[in-house]
Amino acid sequence: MSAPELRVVGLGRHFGGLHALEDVSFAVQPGKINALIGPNGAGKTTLFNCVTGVIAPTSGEVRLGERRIDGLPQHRIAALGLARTAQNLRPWREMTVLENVLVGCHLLGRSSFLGDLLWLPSSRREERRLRETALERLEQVGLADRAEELVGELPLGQQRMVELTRALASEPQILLLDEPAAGLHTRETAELGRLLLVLREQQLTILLIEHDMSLVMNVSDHVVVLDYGQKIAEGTPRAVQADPRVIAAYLGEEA
Amino acid sequence: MDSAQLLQFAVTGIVQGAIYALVAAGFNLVYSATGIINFAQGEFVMLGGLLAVTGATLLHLPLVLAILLPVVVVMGLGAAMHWFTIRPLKHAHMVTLIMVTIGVSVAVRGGAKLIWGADPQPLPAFSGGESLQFGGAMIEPQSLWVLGIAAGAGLLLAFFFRRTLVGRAMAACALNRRAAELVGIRPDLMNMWAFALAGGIGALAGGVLAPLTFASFDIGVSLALKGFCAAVLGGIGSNSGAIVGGLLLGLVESMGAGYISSGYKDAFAFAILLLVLFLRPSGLLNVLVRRDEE
Amino acid sequence: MSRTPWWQGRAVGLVALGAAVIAFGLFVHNPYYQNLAVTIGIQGLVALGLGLLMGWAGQISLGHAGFYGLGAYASAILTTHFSLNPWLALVAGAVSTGLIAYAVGRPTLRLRGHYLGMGTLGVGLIIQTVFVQWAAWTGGPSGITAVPPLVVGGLALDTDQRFFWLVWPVVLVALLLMGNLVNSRTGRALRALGENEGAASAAGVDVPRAKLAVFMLSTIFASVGGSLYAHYTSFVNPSPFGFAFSIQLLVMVIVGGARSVWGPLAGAAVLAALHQGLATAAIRVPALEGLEVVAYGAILVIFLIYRPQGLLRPRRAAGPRAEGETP
Repeated sequence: MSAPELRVVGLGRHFGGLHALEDVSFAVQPGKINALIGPNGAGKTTLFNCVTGVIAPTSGEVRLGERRIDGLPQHRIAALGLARTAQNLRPWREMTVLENVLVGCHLLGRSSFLGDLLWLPSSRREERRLRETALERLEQVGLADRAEELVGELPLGQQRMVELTRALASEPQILLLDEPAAGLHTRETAELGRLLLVLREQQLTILLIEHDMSLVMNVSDHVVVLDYGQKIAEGTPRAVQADPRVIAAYLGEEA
Repeated sequence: MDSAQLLQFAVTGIVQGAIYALVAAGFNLVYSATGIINFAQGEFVMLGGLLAVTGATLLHLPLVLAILLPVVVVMGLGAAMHWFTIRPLKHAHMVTLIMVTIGVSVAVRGGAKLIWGADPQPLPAFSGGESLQFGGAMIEPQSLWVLGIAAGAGLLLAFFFRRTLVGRAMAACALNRRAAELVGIRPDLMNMWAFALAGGIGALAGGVLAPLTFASFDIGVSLALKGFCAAVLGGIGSNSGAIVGGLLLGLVESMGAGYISSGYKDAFAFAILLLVLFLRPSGLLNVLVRRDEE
Repeated sequence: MSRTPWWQGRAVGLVALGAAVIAFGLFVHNPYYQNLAVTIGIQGLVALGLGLLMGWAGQISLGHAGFYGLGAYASAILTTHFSLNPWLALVAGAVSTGLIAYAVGRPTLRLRGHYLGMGTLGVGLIIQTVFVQWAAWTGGPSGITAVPPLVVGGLALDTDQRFFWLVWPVVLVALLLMGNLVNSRTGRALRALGENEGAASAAGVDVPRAKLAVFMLSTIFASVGGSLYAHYTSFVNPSPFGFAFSIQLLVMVIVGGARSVWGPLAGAAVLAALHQGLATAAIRVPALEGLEVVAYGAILVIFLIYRPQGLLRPRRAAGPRAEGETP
């Protein structure tokens, strides 16, 4: 199954007089690892929020295939196959690892409020199926033996992994990751990179915000660079690295 | 429509609205500093009224003292409320903090009933004299006292925040807690001050209100709701908004009671509150108010 | 850490409570205790509904006494003015309360935290005002008398003992339903949005719809409780359905433990015992009268500060919810 293409066209978002995003257009390459980079405050997370329906853009469009999705409520966009993890959007710390992944499986279920209340056979069957799926997911990432532990009690690296597993559990077509490597050790970051490559093998489209440049340069196929809410470069990691405007933007930040 | 009657309702509404504005100002003080809506704000008003009655009738204090002493006492109670019930819950969820203030309000109300009983207590008006005639409407002297004292309290608060050290520290703390800490302001103390001031302004409202409506243990809940309504109408946290919101609410309530049904008088206020919350939770006047505060 | 299947513990608890109910019904004949048990059952039912809303979905309601009153008045009005069968009246009350909750909840539940608290408080007070003012139907402050009892197979449930056999099975069913819900896909979605609404939406949960559904269910619990109350006491007036009872419900939920299915029921029992204890003591020491309200407030504050998870600790609870915590 080929995933529909995710595109932003002339996307803009203002907060009062502040232009967080201005006329940004690019296409996310299907089945590839796409990276969105830029100095702090460049508008990366704002763009994620516009794409996933947390906020509506003030101008421009977000398209999934032929369909316009900007302005749709978050859960509708999620149902179209976009899953995301977020910087501060932590997993549910008061729920167990298994329950977190089960919430991630929410979109795979069809049970109704009433059916769940009455514990109808259909709900029961579905619950059993979802639990099996969730446990399988946890086994794949090596967290099965922690299934019954509260997420809040796990070390940060494993919390991140739970969050990622949670996002993957909905079987998305496009995965948006907001700084997945923040706070991870070098070894954990390397593992994350390998996992992303495995996911690409499975034809998953990935859009990644990341500050860890070695991770970005190692795994991504396509890089988009934002600065002050505008797209300043786009291309292969190698090409972007050499782009004088990108260098200027980053040097400007460090100076 | 009888214009004298209309004027009478307007006067009643404005006087009542001034009280709501004072209650709203109390909400704003605590909200700006801590982000908490203090459900016990109405109890501060209730205590102010009942303590004033006790001071005036039992202790035979001169009226000025009978009003001002409760203000000081309730300031202390507000500070104590913060120190013993809010401060320990520094990291709690907002819903928890709201419930704590509800708990305090319930306990204080129950305590007041134990101490003062269930009967409303009268307080003599601040000055004698005939009701004034004004275009066919009757204005009682006490109404003028209410308006004057409410205006005075508003000016005093503005002065406090702009000119005094504590006031400016509180304002700084409300704007940016961390930065305030860096320059040596203790947020805990500032929050305590906010509760104390909210207690003081509430007690003042209770004292000036008592001669008009009697003081009673059970006036807190509805005053709190209406004060909150006024605060929301004006945009919560904005003091000029509180005045406009309070007056607007007082007018709507008095017109509604006069022309539609007095039995549903309270329901009007709550219906307005719900309407505002549904349509424009940031306040009807926030655009207007923003401009003058920024 | 034990890996007991989740349903096992639940079944054990329900069977144990069921056995206790049967034993009480068969062996306790003292009307004082029967009345106490019925009261706990009715109030516990309402508290369970509120607990579902507050503990699991994280939404506060300060107007639940109003919905409790809607059920009571629906039953009283439909049976006395329209001679409707009491069972039908109970169902009609539940349905109309659910519909009113839908109308009220759609805009209200968009609000958060203190706004939702004040909004629901306002709704509750408006409902009570209508009970007082709409005298043609509600009888005004003096209320409605001679509400007929519920009848099962020709047997009128007009004694404490008979009513006990109705109320507690209803409570057991409510517990069963709640257990079902909490451990289901829907229940997880509710807990997820209770802890973090944004993350729940991102996971595909239709947050407004889920909140509305649980709010309606919660008010239906309250309405059924109210109908039972009306048929049990055969009399309704506005005073039990005001702000004071909304607060009592809140105290029940917090004392028992908002995040445990059984907690609010335990809370209802504790409060009923406290009420009876203080009432008994007040006969000897009149000064104690009125202390009850003070106690409710104090208990609420003390529990929130020192034991936020309530008496019944949920499985390895992490204390109250974490959203909004400053790190």
